Order: sequence, then structure tokens, then C-alpha cells
Amino acid sequence: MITFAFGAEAWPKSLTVPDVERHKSLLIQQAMYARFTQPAMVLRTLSRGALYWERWLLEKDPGRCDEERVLSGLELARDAGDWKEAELLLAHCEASSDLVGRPFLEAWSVIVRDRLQEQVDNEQRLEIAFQKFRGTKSVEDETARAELARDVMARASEIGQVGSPVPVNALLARIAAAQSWHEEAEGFYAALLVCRPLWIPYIVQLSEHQAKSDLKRAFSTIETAKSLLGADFWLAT
Amino acid sequence: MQTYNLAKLRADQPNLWPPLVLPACLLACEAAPGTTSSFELAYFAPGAQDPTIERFSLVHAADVSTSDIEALRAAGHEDLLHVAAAGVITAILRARDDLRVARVSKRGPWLDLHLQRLDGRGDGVLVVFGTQGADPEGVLADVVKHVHGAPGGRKIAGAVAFGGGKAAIRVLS
Repeated sequence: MITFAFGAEAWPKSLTVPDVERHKSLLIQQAMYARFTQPAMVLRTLSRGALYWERWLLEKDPGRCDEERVLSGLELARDAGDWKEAELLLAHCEASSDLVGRPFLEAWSVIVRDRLQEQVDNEQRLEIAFQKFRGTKSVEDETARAELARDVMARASEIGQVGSPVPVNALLARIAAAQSWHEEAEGFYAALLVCRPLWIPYIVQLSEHQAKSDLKRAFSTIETAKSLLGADFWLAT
Repeated sequence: MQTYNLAKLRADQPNLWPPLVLPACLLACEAAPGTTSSFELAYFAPGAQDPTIERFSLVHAADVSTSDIEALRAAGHEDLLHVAAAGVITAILRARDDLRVARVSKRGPWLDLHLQRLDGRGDGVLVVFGTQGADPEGVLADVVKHVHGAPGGRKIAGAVAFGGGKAAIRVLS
């Protein structure tokens, strides 16, 4: 299985509404625990995961608790620092005859409009940081290259204190993988899977890194993914 | 007087994460693992002006991880009181009315706890705040205000005054 910080799981027991509800509820509680005791990135990652499942429930179990799920999703988007997701939730409401025109939408539209640019700016900063790392390919001194990688990762982690955990963890994972820091890479891919639990390339990359240190754990990830997504899930990539 | 073992939350309410709720209850009650805390509950039925007064004893879990307690103690966050209050009120409602938490959602900075009877019937949304002091009534007024904004039908407000050993529940129709 995949465990993130303090044993938080990326996946529910099954892709059924009751199991997903339970899992989402657990992630919300874990995010609260993380708020008290962990670095901000952990809170943001767990909140992003809970948000993913709120949106999954809106799509797979439509017409039930829609307002509750949207409100919860918007709060989780705020906690995750993922205003693009909040914008998608607002778009869902605009397209829903049950939710369009609800008073909370106007207030949230203003908040999202005000914060979205900040997320775009942060992602640009991340891209610039990553380009800086790519530029180190020509550096032959291993130590110097490792120092540059650490510097770029530190900048990304700073953005992770305020921004969406998806691009931050993605950049950290790519750098750690490029440096063959497998344990760290595994941690960042596990975080990415909490954020986007059904994104198959993350599952494959995580299990590849697990296989480098612990084949049994890699098999366990693949087997769990098969039970959740089907025997040939990786063909979808 | 009814007694409820908070460790049962682990089995009865798996969506209330014990590593958070149980140590938060211990810290808020200033109690040791395995000991008992007593609460006087003021229960306001729908439309009632005056509450019925009931007494509850809650037995704290014996096997709470020391590292969890220390991590939360170091956090020293006021919101911990809300988490502990959620543990206390949901335990009382489990013992009193066979209600348990079916799912959790976020609204504002707090959590909405969606309750369900053991037969699977939904029974509304619960919002709970906790405070230090002797009287939960003032806090309950704030909770009522907040829970009114929750989507859905039946709404329940709860408050716990830690230190005073008093709890209050108001069921809104």
C-alpha cells in the first residue's frame, strides 16, 4: 500500500460511494491533525486529496448532498491552496440547475478571482526553478549539482508553504528522481498520489521507485492499484 | 448515569480519527489514559426552552499514543478544544441516541459531522465547539448560529465547557 505522512493512505478500500465517503472523511480529519502538528505541505497535500474525493463524489453520486460537497470542496481548495480546483467547483455549480444562483457562489467567486493569479504566479516561479535545475545538466561536479538541486528544492518547498501541493510535489519528485534520491522521490510520488489518487502515471512512477529499495512494497502498490482500477490499469497510460 | 468508553469511537465511528480525537479529549479534560471524566449535559429537545439535565461519564482510552499526546500538547492550538468537544458530544450521542458519525465535511474553519442512526437512517448534521470555562451556553449560541447555515434538514448544535465539566446539545428542527 501507499502511505503518506503518519500513515495516511492515498486510496479508499474500493471505488464505491460509501468507501470513498469514509476515506474522504478520514483525510479531512487527518488534515486537521496535520494542521496542528505537521509542516504546511502535509496539511495542503491531505486537503488536496480530500478535495479530489469531494469532486469524485459530486461526479459519481450526483444529486446527493451537492451543496454540502461543493462547500466542503471549496474550503478544502482554500486549505490546499488550489484555486484552480475551486474554479472548477464554481463552474460545476454554474452548470447545475440545483446550485446556480446560490448566495455562497458570489462570495466564493470573488475569493477565487482574487487568489487565482497568486497560484499562476507560484507555478511560474516553480517552472523557472525547474529550468534552473535542468540547466545544471552540464555541471559535471556531482557535489555542485547536488547542491544546486537542494537549492531549487528549497525554493519549491517555500512555495509549498503557500501554494498548491501538486506542482510543488511534482517538481520535487522529478528532481529527487533525477538525482537518484529514491527514498525522497518515493515520498514525493506518494504525496502526489494522495493529491491525485487515480492518476496512473504517478502509480507507475511510485512503484518504480519502491522497486529500487523494496520489491515487496512495489508489488503491494501494484496489487492494490489492480484491485482498485482493474487488472490492466497501466495500459491506460 | 450513562458511561461511554471513548475507545469505542475506534469501532463505532471510524471516521473520527482516534489518533486525533482521543488525545485531544485527554488534553482538554486534563485527564490520564484510562481515567474517567464526568459531564453534566443540558439537552434541549426541538423547540424546548428548558433543557433536561443528564449526567454522563466518559472513560478515556487507555492506549493513546504518548507521541500523539505530546504532538498535540506542543501544538497548543485552541481548535483542539473543538476537536475534543466533537469527541465528547459524539460519544454522548452514541450512548444516548445510537447516533454515530457517517461522514465528515468542511464548512468554514470547522467540521460538519453528519450523523446516522445505527439502522443507517440519516439524522442530520452536528456542529460542536469546545471552550475552557464553566458554562457552555454562550458557546452554544455561536454554534447554533453556525449550524443554521449548514445545508440539509435536521441540525444539532453541541458545546462543551472543559474545566466546568458541562456540555450542552440543542436539537434544531
